[in-house]
Amino acid sequence: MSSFGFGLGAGLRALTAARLGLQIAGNNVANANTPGYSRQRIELVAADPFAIARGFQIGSGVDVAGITRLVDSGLEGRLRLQMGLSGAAEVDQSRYAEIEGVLGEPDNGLSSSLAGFFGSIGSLQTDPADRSLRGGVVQAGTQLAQGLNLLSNRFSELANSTFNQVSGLVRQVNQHAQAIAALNTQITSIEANGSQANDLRDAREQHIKAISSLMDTRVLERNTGSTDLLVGGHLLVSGDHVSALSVTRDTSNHTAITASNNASITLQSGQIAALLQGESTDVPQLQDRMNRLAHNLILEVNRLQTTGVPAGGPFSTLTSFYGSADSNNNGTRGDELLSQGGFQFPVQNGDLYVTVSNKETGAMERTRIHVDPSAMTLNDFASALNNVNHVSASVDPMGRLRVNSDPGYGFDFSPRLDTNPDGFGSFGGANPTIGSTHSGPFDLSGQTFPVSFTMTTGTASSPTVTNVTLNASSFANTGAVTTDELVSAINSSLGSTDTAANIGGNLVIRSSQGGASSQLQLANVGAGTVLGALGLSTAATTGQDVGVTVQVEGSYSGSNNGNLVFRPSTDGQIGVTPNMNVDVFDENGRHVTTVNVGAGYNPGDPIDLGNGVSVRFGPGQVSATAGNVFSLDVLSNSDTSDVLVALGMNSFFHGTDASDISVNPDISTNPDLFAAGTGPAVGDASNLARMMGLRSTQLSGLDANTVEGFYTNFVGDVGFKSAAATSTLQSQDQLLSQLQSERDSVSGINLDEEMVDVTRYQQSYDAAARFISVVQQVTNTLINIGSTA
Amino acid sequence: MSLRITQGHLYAVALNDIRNGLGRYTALQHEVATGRRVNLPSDDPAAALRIIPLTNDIRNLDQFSSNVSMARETLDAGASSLEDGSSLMQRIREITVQAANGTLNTDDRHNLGIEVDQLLNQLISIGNSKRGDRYLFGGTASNTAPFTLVSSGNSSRVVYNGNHQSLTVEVAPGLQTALNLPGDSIFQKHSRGDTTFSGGNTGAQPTNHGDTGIGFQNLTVGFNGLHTDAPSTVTAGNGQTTALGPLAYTFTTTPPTLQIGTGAPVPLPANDTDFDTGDGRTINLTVTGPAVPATGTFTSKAGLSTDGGRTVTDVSDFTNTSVVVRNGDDQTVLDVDVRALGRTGQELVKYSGTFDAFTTLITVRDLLRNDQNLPIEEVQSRLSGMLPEVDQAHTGVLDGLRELGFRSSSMDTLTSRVASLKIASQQSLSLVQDADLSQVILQLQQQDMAYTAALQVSAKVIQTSLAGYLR
Repeated sequence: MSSFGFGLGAGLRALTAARLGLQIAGNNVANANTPGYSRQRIELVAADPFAIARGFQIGSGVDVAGITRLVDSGLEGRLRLQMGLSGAAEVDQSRYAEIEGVLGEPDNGLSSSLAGFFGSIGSLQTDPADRSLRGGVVQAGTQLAQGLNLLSNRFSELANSTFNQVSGLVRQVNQHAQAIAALNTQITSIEANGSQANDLRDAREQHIKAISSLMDTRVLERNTGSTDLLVGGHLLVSGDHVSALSVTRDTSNHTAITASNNASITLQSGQIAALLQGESTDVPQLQDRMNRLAHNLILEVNRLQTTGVPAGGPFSTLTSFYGSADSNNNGTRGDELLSQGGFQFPVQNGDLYVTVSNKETGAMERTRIHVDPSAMTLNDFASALNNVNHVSASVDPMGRLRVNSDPGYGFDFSPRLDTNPDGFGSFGGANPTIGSTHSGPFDLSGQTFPVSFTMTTGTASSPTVTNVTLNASSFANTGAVTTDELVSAINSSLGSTDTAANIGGNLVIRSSQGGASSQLQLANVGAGTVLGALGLSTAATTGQDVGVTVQVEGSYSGSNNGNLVFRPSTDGQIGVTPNMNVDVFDENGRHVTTVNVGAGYNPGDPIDLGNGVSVRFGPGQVSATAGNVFSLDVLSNSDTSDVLVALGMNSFFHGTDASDISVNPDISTNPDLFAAGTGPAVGDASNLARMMGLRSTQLSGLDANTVEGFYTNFVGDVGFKSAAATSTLQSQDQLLSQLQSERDSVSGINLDEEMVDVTRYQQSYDAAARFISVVQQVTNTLINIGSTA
Repeated sequence: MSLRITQGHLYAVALNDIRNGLGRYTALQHEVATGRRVNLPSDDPAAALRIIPLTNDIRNLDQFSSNVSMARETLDAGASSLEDGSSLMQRIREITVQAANGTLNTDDRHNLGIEVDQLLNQLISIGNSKRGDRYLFGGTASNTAPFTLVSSGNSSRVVYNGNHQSLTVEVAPGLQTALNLPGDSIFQKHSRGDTTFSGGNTGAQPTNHGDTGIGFQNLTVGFNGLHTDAPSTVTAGNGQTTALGPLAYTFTTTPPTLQIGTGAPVPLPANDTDFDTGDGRTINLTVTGPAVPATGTFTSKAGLSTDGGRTVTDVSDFTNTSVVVRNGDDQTVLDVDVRALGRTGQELVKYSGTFDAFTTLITVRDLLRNDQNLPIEEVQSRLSGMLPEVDQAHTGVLDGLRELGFRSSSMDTLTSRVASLKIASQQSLSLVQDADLSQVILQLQQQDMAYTAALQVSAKVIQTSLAGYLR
């Protein structure tokens, strides 16, 4: 068919197409800066042709096939993923930047407080009695404690702020999810008519991307045009339905994201995932390291402080800061095992050495208390202390240990050397003594109990004979009778006058009368052999007007606790008798050394025993026959049980980690309680030397680092992580912008292109209009043929 | 297909470039402003690991240098006390020389004795020198006076109450120095040599072992009664006795006499009568009559004492080579060989190699006072004998002075050593921490140019669009 109408139809279509094209180009230009806008393009096709004469077909103009969005859906997926990674990197970077700010290194952080603390101890070394320097140690300690508190608080805040941050972000996620669901409905209804909801799809994509930067998403497109959104395996949006997320705290008080069915959601990427990771892992790890630092610092400083001696000398009274908990809930504290006393620093299986000294003479007596936390209660420990001469101990209703000494006496727990180790006078003392030639235990299984021996004391002119009877019931095992059992059995038989004692494992019996005329002789009763079994001589021995003095000096530098036993090699006079030696044995009976004290030795001269210990022997008679012996404790650690630290017996730091470390307020108010020395001398700075040694000690609790080294590594690690987070952020941002430019190159607007399109469609419109006008003229010409002819 | 460049892309790229440029610009500007390359650990974590220990090192070294100056002050305080001590000993020497040689009368000597007594008190107060509240010469027992004068009976001596521990302080990494010298090592010396007895002619001999006395002591050999081997009719009289040891006796019955040794027989009964032993010694006895056996040997016991009779050691066995005489005042012992002992009297015991400045002064003072009423010649000769002792005491003080002075001057060396260590640490710190300013400023200029260029180019590119040309 052929008619005049044909041209007008094609022209009209061309005009419409050109106008649409112009409109789309205009819309593109208008949205050049709209975020998420995807470039739209008109799709033109040639309209269906129709047949004219002779089988020719002729086109009927142009048809608008549709308006399409230029979107690469694979690229959009990658972009969403990358937004999650970038979001996470951004959170990580800002967190580490904040932590670095909190640390304030390398200038004003904790490193200067740590150095200041050790520096103040170094200053005090110059004058241990100076109160203002002592105040300096307290101040530096307080500053250090507060520095740790501050760090701990800031880390906690960092972790605690996560909940609010995540709550806000999850609210955003839910809002976006609602918007997506609403858009799904609109898009489905619009696209049901076959048209394309391009701008709505762009809007929906924007919401999906907003969620993607917060958490990892998966997008499932349905063929209705609606989109389902999965976050962390949870179907957040399903068509027009939203299953909103909520924020809760889990059992370990960490922030958790739960779906409506209370299922917890695990996220891999996005800002929220990074925040949760920070709260549950990164910040706690840093906090944990700070706490370890504080914990070990408290432990080590307190170990030294509690085994030191304050400026005022040994204590007359001392109450523990911490008490035993009532863990068995029977209403009384102190009857729990030390292992169950709820102490922040656990009591170990070890020994505590208690030193009681006479404040007038300085004479000291040391007692070893074995502490087994799984067999000993605080009450047991108090009664063990109570058994020490001149010391009383009790547990108060708060479960705290209170220790007092008798007037004129003081107690402490220091490892110092006993400067006068022969306090009992069993090494050439003024009173005659007879000691066993070997240390216990003693085999008395061959004896017929009760077994007796006599003891002749007094003077030759007026002797006193005492009978000593030993019963089998006094001994747990007659085949291995301990020295302590013998001492108590003999002392109970002797009454209060003459005395038996345990001197370094040896049994020693001493007459109560001294002086050159005093005597002591032991004899078996009948055909008894008990004295032989005990290694006690039956020879008579005499006392002397002035006993041999033994003085010890120095400070023990060995690494183990030990006990040295000294015996003369023969009978004789110090400094006079030729070839007279003193043999030194260790606590296991092994021979350590031999020193000459006979002719050639000037009485009173120091003899070096090694490990920083020297001994001086005064003049006088000593006897190997009478079993002369004395013992000397050499201690490197006078509290291997940590019971003093656990109880807080004049400890320097209170608390257990970075959050609660503080300086003992008693020491703050009275800096004289700070233990600069290990002995009673006011200028003694030996404990300060130990504390300075702590500075370079590699602590096993700090992965074999020093305190300062551990902290330096900590700062270094934060620096490395922060630097890594920054570089991760940069590279993720770069990837993101690369993907964005790829997206731009597909979906973005190029104004030049659009201007070209505008020009093209304008020209196309012009041409179509001109075509219509031509058709009109042609038609006119045709119509006017008749009228003019 | 070539990449489509869109306006959005152009803007984004331009913005990103400008932002990066500005970021680098700011970082460099911060480096220049602080002069430091590392302002946060993340700027260079490896450097931060070095910076913190180095900063601590510098703080430590500051601590050390304050310790050094404090140590110096303390050492100088001790040295200046000992300088006073040295001039004091100089004066003692002058007095001793004057009194030993000069023709001084008793009053002059007595006045000098008073001066020496004052000097003694001064020397004690020098030994008790304090810095602040702390005694300098008492070891770590710094709150009790190290030296106190103890008088008992007619003897006085100065005892040391301090200990032998050092007040040590760390003055350089790993280097401890003692701030003090225990006072007894300055004023008392113990490198013991032989013991000598002089002046008494009692026959007592030193054994040269086991003695613990210091400087000088007087060994008083007194008569301590008769041993149990004396005849039953013979008891000690109340008069003076000089003869000690075994004495042979002979009784005669007609007339009743008693002869001791080779002395003249004395008629009996005799009451508090001096018996001559025939060798210049006498023994005062009360004898009621002859006894059986008529001849034999009895022992006149000796009493040995080094503390003026307070503690007396009884000697009845005159074959003993080792009698221990203990001093009740200071618990020192003197080992005496009594085999030749035969006469009462006093021995001046000198413990060579040991000295005690205080005892020396006390001895000089007592000789000047001459309470024992010794003859002038004896006093002068004993004073001459004291001269080496005075010199030795002086040397002791000078030794202490030299030791303290040496330590003090080594503090000078340490001051510069600590200072140079500090400079070294500061240099290392600077290398790690500080920005290389010339390099950074150069970079800053480059960055400046790059930034300006980026701005200009961006401005150009952004402006350009086809829209601007279609009219």
